[in-house]
Amino acid sequence: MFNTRIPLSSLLIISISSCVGLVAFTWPLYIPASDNVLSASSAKVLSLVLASAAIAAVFIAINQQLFDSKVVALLGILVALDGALRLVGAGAAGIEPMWFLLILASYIFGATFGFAMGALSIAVSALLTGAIGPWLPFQMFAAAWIGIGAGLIGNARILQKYRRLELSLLMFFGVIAAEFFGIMMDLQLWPWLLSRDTQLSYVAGASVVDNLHRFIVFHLATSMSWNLPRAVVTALLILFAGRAILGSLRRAQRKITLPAMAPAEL
Amino acid sequence: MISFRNVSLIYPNSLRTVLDGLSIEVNEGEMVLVIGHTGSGKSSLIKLVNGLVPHHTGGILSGEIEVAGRSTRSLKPGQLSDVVGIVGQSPAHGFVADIVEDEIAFGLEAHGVAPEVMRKRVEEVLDLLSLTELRDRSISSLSGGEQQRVAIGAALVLNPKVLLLDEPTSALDPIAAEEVLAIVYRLVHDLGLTVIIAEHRLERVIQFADRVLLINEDGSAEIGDTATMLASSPIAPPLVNLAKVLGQEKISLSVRELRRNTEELRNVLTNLQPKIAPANIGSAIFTLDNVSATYDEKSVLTNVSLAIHSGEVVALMGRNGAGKSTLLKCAVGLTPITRGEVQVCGRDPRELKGKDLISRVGYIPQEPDDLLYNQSVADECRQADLDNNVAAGTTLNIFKSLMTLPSLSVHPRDLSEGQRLGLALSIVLAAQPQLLILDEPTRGLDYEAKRELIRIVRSLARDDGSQQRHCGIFIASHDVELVAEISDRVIFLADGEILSQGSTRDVLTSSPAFAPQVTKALSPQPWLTVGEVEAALEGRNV
Amino acid sequence: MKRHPLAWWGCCALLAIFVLHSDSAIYATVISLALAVLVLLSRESSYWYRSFAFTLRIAVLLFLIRMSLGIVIGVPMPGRTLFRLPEIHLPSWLVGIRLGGEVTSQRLLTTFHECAILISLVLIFGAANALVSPRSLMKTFPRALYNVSTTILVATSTLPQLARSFSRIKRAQRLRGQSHSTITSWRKVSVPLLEESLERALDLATAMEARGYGYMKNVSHYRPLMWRIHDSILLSSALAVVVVFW
Repeated sequence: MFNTRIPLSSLLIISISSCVGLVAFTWPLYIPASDNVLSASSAKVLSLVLASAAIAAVFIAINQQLFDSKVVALLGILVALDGALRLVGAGAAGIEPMWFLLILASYIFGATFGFAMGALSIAVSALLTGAIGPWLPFQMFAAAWIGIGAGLIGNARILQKYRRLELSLLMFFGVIAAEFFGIMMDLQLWPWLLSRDTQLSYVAGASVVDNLHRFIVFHLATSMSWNLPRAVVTALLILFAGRAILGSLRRAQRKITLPAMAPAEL
Repeated sequence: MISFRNVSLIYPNSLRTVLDGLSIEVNEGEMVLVIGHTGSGKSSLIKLVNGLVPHHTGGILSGEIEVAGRSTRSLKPGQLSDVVGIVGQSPAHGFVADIVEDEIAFGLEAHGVAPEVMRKRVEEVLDLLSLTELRDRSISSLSGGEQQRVAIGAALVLNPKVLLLDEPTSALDPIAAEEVLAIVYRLVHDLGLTVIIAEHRLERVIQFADRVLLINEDGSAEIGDTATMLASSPIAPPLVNLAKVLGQEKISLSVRELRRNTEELRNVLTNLQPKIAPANIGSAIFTLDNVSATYDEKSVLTNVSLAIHSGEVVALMGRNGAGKSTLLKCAVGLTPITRGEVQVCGRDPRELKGKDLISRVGYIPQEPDDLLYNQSVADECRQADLDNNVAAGTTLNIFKSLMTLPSLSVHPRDLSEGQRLGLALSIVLAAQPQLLILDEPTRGLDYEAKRELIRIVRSLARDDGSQQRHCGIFIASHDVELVAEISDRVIFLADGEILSQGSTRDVLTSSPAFAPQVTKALSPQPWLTVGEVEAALEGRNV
Repeated sequence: MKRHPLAWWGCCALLAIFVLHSDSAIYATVISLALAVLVLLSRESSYWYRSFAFTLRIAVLLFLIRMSLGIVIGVPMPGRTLFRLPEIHLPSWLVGIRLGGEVTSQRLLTTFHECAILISLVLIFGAANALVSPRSLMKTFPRALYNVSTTILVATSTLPQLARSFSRIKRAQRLRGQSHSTITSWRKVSVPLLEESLERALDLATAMEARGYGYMKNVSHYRPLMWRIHDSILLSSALAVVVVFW
């Protein structure tokens, strides 16, 4: 947290769980053919179980870093803000102010913080609205990965020299992140929304390329009316409020990292 | 119980020495009041006792501090939490859970206390602080005083021997403040707790304190018995100043004491009259005519009629929940009016938007911070110039005329309370409104900042020959002393209805509960402020 | 009658797995209707209970989306033709699918079948969430997740206060001459809100630290939840249903 060294064990767990999560996400692309009609539902159950287990594993690893009251307080309150932001545009296509805060906060506070913030914001807003469905663990993963991405950007030393470009870089990342989230959501909703009976559904046993083709068409056809506004809103919010928000977050960060307190002879 | 040995403290980002060579001992069961100007290190001193400084908040510390035999240097705040409890000034900010009972139990959970013991302790604390009926309530639905009680309970549940209070009453109205202080007093006397309390509003606390610790600007500190310290301290409540003006050697700490000590002296004053400065009242700029408002099917204002004129300062007083804020919001059109008419400078405020509105009414809300959204003082002033379509630098000049400017690159949230209020005032005044509304402006201000505010308000209302137009000023406040100092008229609100209206002197001297200390001390004579008494005595001597 | 969160959630999880495995629209519909009725009958006033209305809305939305997708781009199936939609053949780089066409009863039924399964899952978990407070759910978390659950607790406790701060700040911006909300006015509200939240976070951290948070690893639970007999009944009846109809 807070750009300090993360223990190797946590890093390992996060990477492994992310891979597991990715596998769970993309099963429709490469699932082998089978006559058993139940294999589709077993695949769904398995992927849900895997994703939930992976998330739980990561949280157990993160739990170790949450013994600091400052981190808990900051994370908890930013999650509350972000969760509330997610509910702001509720219903309106793609108006999701949640992402800009997630990206900016992860940029300042680091990748692990970003992971926790993304996953927990989704979880908290789901708890409060009851919008719990088979998409939840996947949404948590997707938001968490966006957090990690923004955090990694923040860690990059090279950026220390290019502060002025900061905002443009973050806007660019925001657009990519918005589209990424759209793709991830479609990917995991694909087998649910279009199970075996439509022409665009995945075909068990077909080649990965073939399924990918179908998926891309599905994605472009259906969710662009969500993805485009999401990307635009995120980019605009970063453009107009980014500098001020980064300033506030940096001030908070300064107050949190303790100056050295060696007992001095005054 | 607590000992400081040659303690010095500085913060790396500032060059000021916060504390310099402090060595004091606090005995068990004592109540020590810490006073000093804003930013003088009261808060740091208090946080030194439980280790928050330097372990949590940072700072470079030298010297030794011991609490109940434990040194704070080697122990973290968590390890001291079973001996020292702390209550801060924003109760709502310090709550982890939303239910009262869960919040109180939180500290015990963190210490891994067994469930049966937890149960017993929580019940005891709920009983002690009369919180039993509130145990299942959501904390955000409680009043300020109740929330502060929950905060005290959350600290007490760990059975500490020392309780630290960092300005516990600054966000509370007078009645809630009295409640909280009475509880603290009872804890000291019934449970033998050692209490260290930092406060701005000394009126309520000085009678309870055993000793007073004064922290000076240069970091030096003096401690002594309450009466002696207050006699020579630059920071003192009106009662103490009154005693000095009346030539008393022995400082009285309560109204009762002062009356006892000054029986003959008061007779001298009977023949003197307070000098009343003539007010230059203009036309009415804010009128309410039989206004009623309902919110959620509850009537919040009933048949309210009043008029504010330019050049006069009117105070609005009443309990929390009486409808003061609702009444103030009528001026900006934010109140759901069901009957009657509201006029601000001849227009209905509900029809006014944007620049039309702010050029007539300037409104400083209870949290002036809500108005500030830029990164530095200079940016705020520039933005205000743009918003109000005035020449660049106007806002900054107004700020300069109100008070000494802080450094312009400082972030507005890093300013002191008084400076933030000044900045908000400048932003609002840049639009040159005729009506200025202040909602609880003295919350969190120390005596010196309050004096500045009084000076500012007076200069805005009276004709002092400057370019400023006469404003009509409408202030909602619990602070009786402030009202006594600056207002011409007082309006009393209760349950959405006006109880009484009249000149300040008439209203305040006839109300036992809402009279300022000077009035209570010198009753039945109609004196309001120490300044009046002082001027009258000087006039007599000349 | 206080429900143990694990009993209720466990019950719902079992039913969800059952619905998925049995792949039967009938079972799905029956279960979701039963749960919905159960939730609607137990009128509570807590905020998490009210989330069920939102869940219902999402279920309806999903139903509509799913049905239209199934009708428009469904795989052609034999059966009695119900009606005809105009056909549009898309080129092969769009996978060569055919939009519209004959809508047969078979196609409609299959689509409805898939819908029912999806919606029942949403309703099952929505019901689980509506009848158990998030706080008691978090109390069941293992000790290894105590800090995470504290974070969630802070988040859920702070949300209502944030909403209040938001409206207060929005009102204050009007006092500064802001007459309509544009995208730039977002900054004027979000920055004070964020600043206040960050300040609050620091105050909260101080308060938590001062009460000993995080210095001991063995935390205990106030009022640990008791597993009662009706919890066992609930769970075993769900188990029974699943086993019998598997």
